[in-house]
Amino acid sequence: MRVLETRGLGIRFGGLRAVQELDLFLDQGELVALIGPNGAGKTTVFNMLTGVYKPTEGEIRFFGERIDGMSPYALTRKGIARTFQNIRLFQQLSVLDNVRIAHQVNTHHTFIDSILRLPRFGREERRMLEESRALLETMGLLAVADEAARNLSYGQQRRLEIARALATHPKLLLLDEPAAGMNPRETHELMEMIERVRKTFGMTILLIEHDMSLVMNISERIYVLDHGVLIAHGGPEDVRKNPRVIEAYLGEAAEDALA
Amino acid sequence: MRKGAWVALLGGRFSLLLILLLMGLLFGQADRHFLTVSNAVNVLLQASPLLLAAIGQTIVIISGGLDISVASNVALSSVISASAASAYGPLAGIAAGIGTGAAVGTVNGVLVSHYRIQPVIVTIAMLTFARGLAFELTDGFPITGLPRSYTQLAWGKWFGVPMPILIAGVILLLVVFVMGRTRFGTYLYAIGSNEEAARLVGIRTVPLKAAAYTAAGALAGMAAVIYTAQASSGQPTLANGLELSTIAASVMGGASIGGGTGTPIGTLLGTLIISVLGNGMNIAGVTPYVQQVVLGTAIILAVVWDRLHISLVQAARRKGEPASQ
Repeated sequence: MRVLETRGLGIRFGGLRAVQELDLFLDQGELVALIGPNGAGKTTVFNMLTGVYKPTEGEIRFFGERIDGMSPYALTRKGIARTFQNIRLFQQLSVLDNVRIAHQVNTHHTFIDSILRLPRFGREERRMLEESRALLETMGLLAVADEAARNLSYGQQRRLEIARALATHPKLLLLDEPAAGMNPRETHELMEMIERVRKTFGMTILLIEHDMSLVMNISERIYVLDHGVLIAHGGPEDVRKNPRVIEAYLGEAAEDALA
Repeated sequence: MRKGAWVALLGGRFSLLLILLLMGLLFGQADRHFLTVSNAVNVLLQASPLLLAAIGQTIVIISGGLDISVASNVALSSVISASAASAYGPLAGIAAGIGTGAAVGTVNGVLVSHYRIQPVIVTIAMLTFARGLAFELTDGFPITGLPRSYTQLAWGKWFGVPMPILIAGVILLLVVFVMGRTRFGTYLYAIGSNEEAARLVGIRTVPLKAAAYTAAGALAGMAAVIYTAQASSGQPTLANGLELSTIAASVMGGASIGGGTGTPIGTLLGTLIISVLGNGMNIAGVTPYVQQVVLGTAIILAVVWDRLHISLVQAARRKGEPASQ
């Protein structure tokens, strides 16, 4: 089943075409990576998929339904969740509350229920608490559940972001450079965790990554973006050998070397 | 499992409670009129309307905003409440007071959340606007001739408890419940903590943020009704400087101007400290100028002490239980 599909997706900022003519799709249960050098437009794509930016060209379909131009909260409720390249947690709130709030948005009872403490409310609160704790356990965060989010280590905060995204009961999970700033061991653990999340929840995942080697082992297909244009698409091996991809990354390596 | 959280939470509040008790002892030593039941009731009577306005301020601060227009809102609500009460009776007066407060708050809220204007700018504009309107409506004179049943709000008692204290107490409990146990409260903490993250977990931030200002406005309206009843008149000059007291009470009580933190109970303690300090110094014969200097110092000391205490508690906990993975 087709979860996500874009056709001719593009956006202009003034005269700058940040992303153009982007066609991509994800099927149910797939783990697909979107890679490219710095400034290629990867995060811009995410921002369009999650309603932060309104695309100026093309269309986005989620389970066949047009979703381009919808607001972020509406898309969250439809089942698209994301994490950020720069961590955005509720820093002052506890780890458990970070996850619980995301849960709450997707369960339904009214203000009157919470005043009257109806049985339904109690049941849902308990279920929400159990689910939140189970999620924290999956992400290896149960031991720090009552800690304020800002007191966590960097790697823990990144995992909490994923846990919080999962708590919105998404059908599609978008991860924006989840390994940014992590050391090699943390990165390795994280990639295993993403695999586990995908298997446990049967999740469809789109992963942005800067470092190509990280996604080679876990993704089924890879899209490569450079200067806002799709330059390659295919299995990890095909992409690795693609001359345009090599050129794009080599160019960057050369720039790094000169810098 | 929640032991650590309790320690941190109560730690912050205990320190304020301690300050309050120390102040009581100190003033009690200085003057025998201070530690009496009638003076305690007197302090609480003065503190009640301040508490209502301060809780409103806390709600706004938790949501990541700030309301500088509280005092002007109180003055405008007072004037309109008094006019309505003398023309149409006490119930109309109360409804008009709270309604005016809520309306002013809603305008603030819509400008801040929907039109994305900075809270300080919006509420400074409203501060000027509402105070000006209050003077224009009254030509600068107090509105008198309030029905007796209206002023009973200030002087009446229910089971021996003066009405203002009763009203403030009930509203405090309600706000404690709403902020601590309902989604509205939880989401406001989330928005204040990180608005973008809140939007992206699916919270409708725009109406909720506006609602925080509406709630604060309604609470300012209630404060206005009590002040009006206590003064037996609607006054355009009412509550000058109240906005600073409400911010001070909130911040002393643990609210951070950055948003995402603060509790109604903390604000209660902050309000009591401000009120006790004022009352004690009055009794001790301290001049109003010195009182302001002392109050300013107290605000800073309370906040510094509170932060210090919390970080000490956290350091102690880290030592006790090595960081778990």
